[in-house]
Amino acid sequence: MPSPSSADGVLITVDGRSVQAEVGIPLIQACEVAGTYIPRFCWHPRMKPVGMCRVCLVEVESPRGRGLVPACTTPVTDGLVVHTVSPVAKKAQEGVLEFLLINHPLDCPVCDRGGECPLQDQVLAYGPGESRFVEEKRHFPKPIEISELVLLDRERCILCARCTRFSEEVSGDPLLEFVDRGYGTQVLTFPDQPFRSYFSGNTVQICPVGALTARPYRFRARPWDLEAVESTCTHCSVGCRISVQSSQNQVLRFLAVDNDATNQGWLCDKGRFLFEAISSPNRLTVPLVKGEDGQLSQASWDEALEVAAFRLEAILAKRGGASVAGLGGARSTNEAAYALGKLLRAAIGTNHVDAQLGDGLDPQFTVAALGRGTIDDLDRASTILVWGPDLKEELPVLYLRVRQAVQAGATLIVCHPRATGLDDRAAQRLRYRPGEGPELLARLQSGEGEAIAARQALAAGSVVALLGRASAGDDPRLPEAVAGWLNQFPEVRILPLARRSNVYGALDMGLAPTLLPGRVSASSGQARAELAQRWGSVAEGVGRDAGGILAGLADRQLTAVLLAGSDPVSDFPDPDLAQRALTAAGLVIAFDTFLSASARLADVVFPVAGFTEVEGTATNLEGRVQKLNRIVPPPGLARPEWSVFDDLAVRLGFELGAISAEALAKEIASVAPAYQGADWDVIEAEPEGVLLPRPGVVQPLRYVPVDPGLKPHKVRLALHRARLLYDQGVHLQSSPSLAGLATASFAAFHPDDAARMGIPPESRVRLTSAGGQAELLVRRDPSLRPGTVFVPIGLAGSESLGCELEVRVEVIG
Amino acid sequence: MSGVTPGWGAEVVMDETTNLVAAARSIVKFFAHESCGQCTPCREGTSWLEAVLDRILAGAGRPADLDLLADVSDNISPGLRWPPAMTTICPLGPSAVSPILAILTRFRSEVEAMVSMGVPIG
Repeated sequence: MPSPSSADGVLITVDGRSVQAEVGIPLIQACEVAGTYIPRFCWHPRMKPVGMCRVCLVEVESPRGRGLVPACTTPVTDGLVVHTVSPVAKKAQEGVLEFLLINHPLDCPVCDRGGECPLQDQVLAYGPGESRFVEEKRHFPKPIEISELVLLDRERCILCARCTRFSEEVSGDPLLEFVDRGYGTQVLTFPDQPFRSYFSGNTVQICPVGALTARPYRFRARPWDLEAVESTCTHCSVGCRISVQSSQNQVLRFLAVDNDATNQGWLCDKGRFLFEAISSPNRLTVPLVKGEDGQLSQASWDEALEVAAFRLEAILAKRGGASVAGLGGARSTNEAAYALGKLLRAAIGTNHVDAQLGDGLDPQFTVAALGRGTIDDLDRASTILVWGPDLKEELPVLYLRVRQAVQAGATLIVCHPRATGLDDRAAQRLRYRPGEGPELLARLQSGEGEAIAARQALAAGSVVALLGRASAGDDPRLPEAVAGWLNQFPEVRILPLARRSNVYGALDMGLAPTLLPGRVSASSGQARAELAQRWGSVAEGVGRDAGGILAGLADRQLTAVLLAGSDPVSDFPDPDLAQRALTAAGLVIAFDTFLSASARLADVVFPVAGFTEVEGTATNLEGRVQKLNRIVPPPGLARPEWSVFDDLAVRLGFELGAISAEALAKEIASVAPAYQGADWDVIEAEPEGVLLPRPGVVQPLRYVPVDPGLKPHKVRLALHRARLLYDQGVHLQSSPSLAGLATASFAAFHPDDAARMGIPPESRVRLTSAGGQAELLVRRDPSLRPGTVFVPIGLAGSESLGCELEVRVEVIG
Repeated sequence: MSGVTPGWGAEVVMDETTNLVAAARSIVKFFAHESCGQCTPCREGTSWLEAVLDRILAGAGRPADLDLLADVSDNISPGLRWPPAMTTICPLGPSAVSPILAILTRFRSEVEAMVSMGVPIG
């Protein structure tokens, strides 16, 4: 045998060529790395091999002679000799391809997969020229609806088990299974159990034929008519890489791109199908100005900018910059967020700016926590602590990554008021009532009762802690308190979790009262002076956060507010305050893609370009910067946000210098310390984006989380409020395929509580909090910590309840 | 070890009036029915063999069917040798191939006659 093999691999012989390969990986993968492609259907690099379709049969040499083996289930061993194109291997592959085709309908001309179909492509490349099959093909009724989003055509199915394995292995909702056997084998859902999975679109994408199709794309385009550009999904802060595909200036689908650092080839259905909102007829297309009649009516850009600048100038002259505030930026690109910060802090002269809406965490903790980890750290962790949102509902692809890490052996601890999507994988499930988080933390610290095992797991080995707001009723400093305690252990990495879109990018661009661009503390006098040198000036004084801004507007200490893609009336935990604030404000200027509930209260509304319509960058929850690309023009007269900020600044007599998104990116790289070296060409060249700070770059702020010694808040009945994936959000409701998936609002009780309080099943209750009232349908949830009632945020009918901790119940029928 | 069965086998005795295509069909049918359906060559191959034999028995056989039966069998059990090589996961698929091999090698003229007569066999 040729000699051996270096530390990272062994030598194998592929069709007579000696190549390096990693021991233990599937032979099919090793051959591909070496440039030899073996046909495949069931094998998928992100799932366990099963060797079912048999099309990757190759000959390997053994002491007993050559034998046929599937390349996907054969691990690489030292000195392996494989023949992938020998006559026997070729005949076997060809034979299997013929078998797969005999019962496959040749309806390619009307099949959505036609033109990008692995069966079509591989039969052409490796299969027989014609079929010898003259019998009647297998028939099934077609296609059948297996969920609101997915249709199944069992005649096209080649039974590769990719979809069934995905549901079982990856997403953990095994709703697709094989039924029957032999010739009658088929993929199907269980009776009365639709394929209602948050990840169903992935099965459509990995289906090697057109058996699974998704409603939003069915019959919309032929693959060869599609243009594609790679971009980053910004519906939540995970930062999944996607291919955005359009035809005739209309976005028609998103496909997942396999980015090893983030989504690894998967997407959630919300991210995948929310593209429909881009071409919604409800998009804002022209500027709107409120007339004397109090109605918003169409205006030209010049008019609208003139009105906004004129009224803003009057306020600045009378009350100064500190009477103006800015909310938003979390839905913007980094470049637009940076331009907004400059507009507010330098041109207008205010520090009242917040990209979060009272539902987030401490800004410095969020982007600059000491010991901040990466998503990848999960794969190396021995223990994972999730004390934060239900990841399946709020950061779905991060949920997949945690599942995978647990499958690989990590111990999972989940702290939440009720069962989360991850609980089936958790070794420890610690439930607590909202407000009583500090008590659970104390139990963990002392290792009492149910918390003994959890404490032991956290104190030993490498730990990754995913920390965020599990419940709106939790103290916002609770995640920091947990981090402060965990930091005493040697190998702890922390991922502070905020959910909304590009909120990490917005915070990195200084859209928070306590931050300046590039992970710099706003209280550093030197940093402020340096920034003033670059910007001309930077406002003095301490800024208000979102709560402070809205309170200030409501009691008229502040006069004007800029809303950049921000909808406090829908999203702020106290919607009543948000409503009062925007009604009382002397001037509200909104920059948005839709006329949100808040934008309706604005004096001037600017239509801005959204996702897939602008170039730029976004920063994900681990601080990774990735590129966003443009493929369609914005609707109507909508323009990129940064250019509107620039125009407004010019009319206020200030040069923002925002001539293009790329120029802004260059400025960010030179002004924002943690963004040094994050130029677009560098980001584009890296398939995984760029994790900041880059090696050798010093990030000025390292925020040391300290346990602030929180006291538990105990109430008789605690209100747990958290988000579900599908809600009444404007983007979701503007996506016809997803809109109906949002359920009606409800109040979930523990069965013991319901019995104690005399709440019959299927009844309605009136909940009263300090914020307001809501009449809701009753559900039972035995996983709830008793003494807690769960009412999701963002569903119609519970808005006025707010996010108060205490709630009272009366049965109304 | 008397009274213990270490395994099982079967011997089928047929007289000279038996139609061997029909006999082969019933054995193939058994294996096609037993196929679990997991791997392609067994799921699709055994049911294809059964369909071709059914067609021959229905009087719609074609001369090309003899080669077809042999080649489909070869795609399930390459080389048609003993012990069998397999493209399948387990030896069930290759088991379905032996009656085909038997009629094609030992009783080929009978199969050819049936194909050329082209009438259904009762």
